Amino acid sequence: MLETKNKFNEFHSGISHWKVQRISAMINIPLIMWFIISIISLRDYSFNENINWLKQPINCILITLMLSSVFYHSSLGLQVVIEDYIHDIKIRKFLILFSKIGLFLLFAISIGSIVNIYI
Amino acid sequence: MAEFSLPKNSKIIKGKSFSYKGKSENKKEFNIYRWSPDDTENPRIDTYTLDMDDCGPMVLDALIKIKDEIDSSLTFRRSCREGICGSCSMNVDGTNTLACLKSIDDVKGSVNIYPLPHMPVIKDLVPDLTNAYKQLESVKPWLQTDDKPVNGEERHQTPKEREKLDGLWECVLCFSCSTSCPSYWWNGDKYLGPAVLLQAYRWIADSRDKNKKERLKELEDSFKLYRCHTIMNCTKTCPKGLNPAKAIGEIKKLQLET
Repeated sequence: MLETKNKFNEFHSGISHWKVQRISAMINIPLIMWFIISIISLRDYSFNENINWLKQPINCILITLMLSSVFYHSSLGLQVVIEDYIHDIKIRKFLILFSKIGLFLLFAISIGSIVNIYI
Repeated sequence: MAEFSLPKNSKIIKGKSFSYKGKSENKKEFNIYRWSPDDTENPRIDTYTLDMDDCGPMVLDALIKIKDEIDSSLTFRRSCREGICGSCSMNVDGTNTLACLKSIDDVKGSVNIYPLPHMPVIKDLVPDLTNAYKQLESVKPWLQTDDKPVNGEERHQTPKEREKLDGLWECVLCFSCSTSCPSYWWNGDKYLGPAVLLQAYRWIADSRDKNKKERLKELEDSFKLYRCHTIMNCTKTCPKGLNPAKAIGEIKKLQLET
């Protein structure tokens, strides 16, 4: 018979991962479009004016939502890529964990920078 | 890790050339992958030139002609020569197809013929499909039900229920689709591949089968089904014009609902 279970717990539920990847992708579309349009329209303004823009609650909320969704979607996507190409299960598990920690750190820095504006 | 280059003894070299000595102007070159387990030589490409005025229209006709008249050592699978048995699947002109359904005229220039990609080769154009058959067996491609048919008759289906099987039952299990799928190349030991998943859906969609839930549960796994990244090579290559990618999508939809 084919291998379906092993001690490394290599296999996990597929549908939940697939579903949240699709949902986060759909959430990304409007948020990223908003972000691109915003930075293009802000390109001629000074640093302080950009900071003021970011201080408006609506922009602050939207950018936080976008960062959460983008980083979450990235971690799901990277996991799939690693599972596709890395066949050694120990290395695979390590890389998935590494990618998740790395993305979380980047996310924390981004959120920290936004919070920093208010302090 | 994925391997990006071939091992030394797998590198393909130029092989023998069998030129055509007749007078015909209507000639065509066939470059065919050759490898034998009986010696230690590298795989090679042999070139055969055929008189097209004296050859059938399909790629399989040319292969049979070569085996008959030029080189009897050329090895390939074939049986029905009309696209029903699924034996002569191979890579012709860069696309997986059935040699018996592929017209030679559709290929511009010389015809390149290789075995199905990324499968172990038994000899020449004959791939080892053991793993693919085992995977097919794992989805239990037969009717599963506890009840007995009424009065020992056949199990009835409405025309509407029967319609759901169209585009599924026609599959001849040539594995052209599975072997065209990059996801199957990288993870063929765990990902079931489009051919087997189409068969799985053929039984999930059958109104007479009573094991739908169990079948869906069996496939709910990050590797068996969800290595499909909708690359769509399967649908593009299918020599029978079927759509395995759609069948996979339907399985995912049903799993979302349950």
